[in-house]
Amino acid sequence: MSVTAHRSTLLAPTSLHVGPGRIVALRGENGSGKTTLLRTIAGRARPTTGSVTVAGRSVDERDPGFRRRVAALIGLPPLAPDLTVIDHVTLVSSTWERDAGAVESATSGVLDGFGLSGLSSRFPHELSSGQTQLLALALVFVRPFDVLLLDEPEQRLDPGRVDLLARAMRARCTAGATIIAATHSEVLARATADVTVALTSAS
Amino acid sequence: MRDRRLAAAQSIWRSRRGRSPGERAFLLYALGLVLLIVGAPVLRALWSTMTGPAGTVLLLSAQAADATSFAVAALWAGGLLAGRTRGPALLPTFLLHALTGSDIRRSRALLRPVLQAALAAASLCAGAAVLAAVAVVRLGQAGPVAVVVFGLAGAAAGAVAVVLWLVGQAHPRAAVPIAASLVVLAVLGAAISPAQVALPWMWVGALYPGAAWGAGVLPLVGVLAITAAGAGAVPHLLSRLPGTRLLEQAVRWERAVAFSSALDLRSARAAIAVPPRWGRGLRAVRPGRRLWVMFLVRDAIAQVRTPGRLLGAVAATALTGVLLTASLSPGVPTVLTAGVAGLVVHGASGSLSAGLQHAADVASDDPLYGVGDRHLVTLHALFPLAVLLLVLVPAAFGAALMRGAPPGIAMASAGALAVLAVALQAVGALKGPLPPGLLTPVDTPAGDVSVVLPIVWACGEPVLAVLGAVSLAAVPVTPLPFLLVAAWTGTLLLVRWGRRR
Repeated sequence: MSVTAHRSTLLAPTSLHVGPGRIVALRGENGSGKTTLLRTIAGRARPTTGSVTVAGRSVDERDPGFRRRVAALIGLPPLAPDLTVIDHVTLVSSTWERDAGAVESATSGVLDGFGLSGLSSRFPHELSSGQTQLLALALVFVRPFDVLLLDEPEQRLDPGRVDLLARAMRARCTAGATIIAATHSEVLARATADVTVALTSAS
Repeated sequence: MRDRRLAAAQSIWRSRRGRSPGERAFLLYALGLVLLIVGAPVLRALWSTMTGPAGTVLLLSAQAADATSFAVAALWAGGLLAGRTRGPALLPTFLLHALTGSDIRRSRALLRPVLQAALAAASLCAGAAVLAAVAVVRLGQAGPVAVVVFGLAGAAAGAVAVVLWLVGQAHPRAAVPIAASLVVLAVLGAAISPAQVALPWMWVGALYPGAAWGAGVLPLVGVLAITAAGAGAVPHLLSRLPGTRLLEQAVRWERAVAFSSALDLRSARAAIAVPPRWGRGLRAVRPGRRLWVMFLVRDAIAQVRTPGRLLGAVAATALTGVLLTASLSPGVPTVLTAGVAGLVVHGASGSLSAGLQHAADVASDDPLYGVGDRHLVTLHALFPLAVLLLVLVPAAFGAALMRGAPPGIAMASAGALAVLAVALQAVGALKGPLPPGLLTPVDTPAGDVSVVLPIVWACGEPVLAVLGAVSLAAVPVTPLPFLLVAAWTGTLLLVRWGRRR
């Protein structure tokens, strides 16, 4: 598929097939179409030519089943200024899990996994940019997914936190999820990717 | 030495941002035009209303003096609370940073903006007082001296409001209990006559032209004395202001002004809001309950974390119930009263709809929750709707009983207004940025009127709230206007929902 807009090529003709339990690192210069590709798979943009399918079905983010299968972190999610870190994660988890015990377990697990347990009672405006990025990652990792799309998840993270992220990605991949991550981090790509795809700018 | 440093800094600041003589002349000319074209007709309309049959009844009623006292108490309480968000002692951010970071005393560095605020408030309050007093004198109920006395009392009330505004800025934590106590005392004082002599806002009411009690010079002496005491406290209050809080307020204010200039009123409101710091130990989300209960509790706890905003919203909602009921009664300026009710409930419902706003943002972004967007918005609409119904309807009921009017229509109107208010919050939340097409020049014989379209777009929801409340006041005659407002609101909701991504 390819994506063009206003006579500009946002994504050159690209073909990609990813099986379950794999991590794909998308590499390329700024403007090569990494984010556009992720947005297209997430159903936020339509391909100009070609098609995108997930688990054999066409992409439609209005379909609850699609939203259950595909999670995305492309930019920071809107955070509620009046909820603490633990409130945010618990609320998202509660909308995916009905069992209270499972919610509490998932919440504490993901907060521990991203080193956020000590920050659980902070409000978003009290977090640094790196801590905000970790919260955004926690919100997407606490929910179930078959496919996860990440756009430069390593931004604003120190090497230790990048390592936490890599472990979280590998753990979900081992459980059968597919992860496609656009990244400029050689460290993250080396630590996680089964396949690296290099996109080139159409120009 | 220190005055020279302050003068030097202010001079440099003014020279970098100063206006040329031609620009100042143009500003004066534009101000003159606005006063002539807009100000004069508004004043004239106000005067006609005040001296008309409905206005005469209000101005000459036995409760006019008490209403004045209550309005002053509300003004002072409002000043205290406003200081927590944005106080009078504020300068442009960088100038503030430079002056408060130096050893120049803050009682000098920040005096000018406080004096400007006091002058503006005193002038406005004095002007309103003089207007009312002249109307009463014209109706033959008081002598000309009453105009001077009541005007002085108005000016003093405005000045004291600014001092309390500064108190709220210097002591934000104390401002809430003081404001709450002020309101409680105001309500009790109206009921307990002997207490009135001890309450400063009652002294202002006592100076109302033709007031039944408090004739004589003592209330005026009392009012002027507290004004002088307040003025004396200003340097001490300014010295107590911490630099971090000042800068925080200045940055928030500048951001709010920038967003307002771009007609992004939603972002302006979010920018000026004080972030929560209280109640972090309360778990807002307890899993395992029914979804609607979970979201209701989530929104309630989140709201409790900004208690000042919640109290203000509840008070404003109660006031809406009273105003709406009053607008249904004969002898009251219906359109004005109902219009104010609509505006007040729009503001109150906005303060209660943070969760709804968040839901609209999520609905316009990548899916985050395991519930559909429509379901999420509905879940977050529960809290503001519940609060509005629980406060607005009983307030309308109580007001109807006090007026001896049948409460049924008042309660039904209050309920309908509550639903409309929440729907308008959803409409506003889904609005998105200003469409560039609205900035296209529109040439007419009167010139380019393209500035009107963005203003209409930005003010759509408050205007609809006003129209909704006014049309509710007309329901005893015909429900059609309200049905039209409701239908238009529903249409906007559907269209913006469809365009949210």
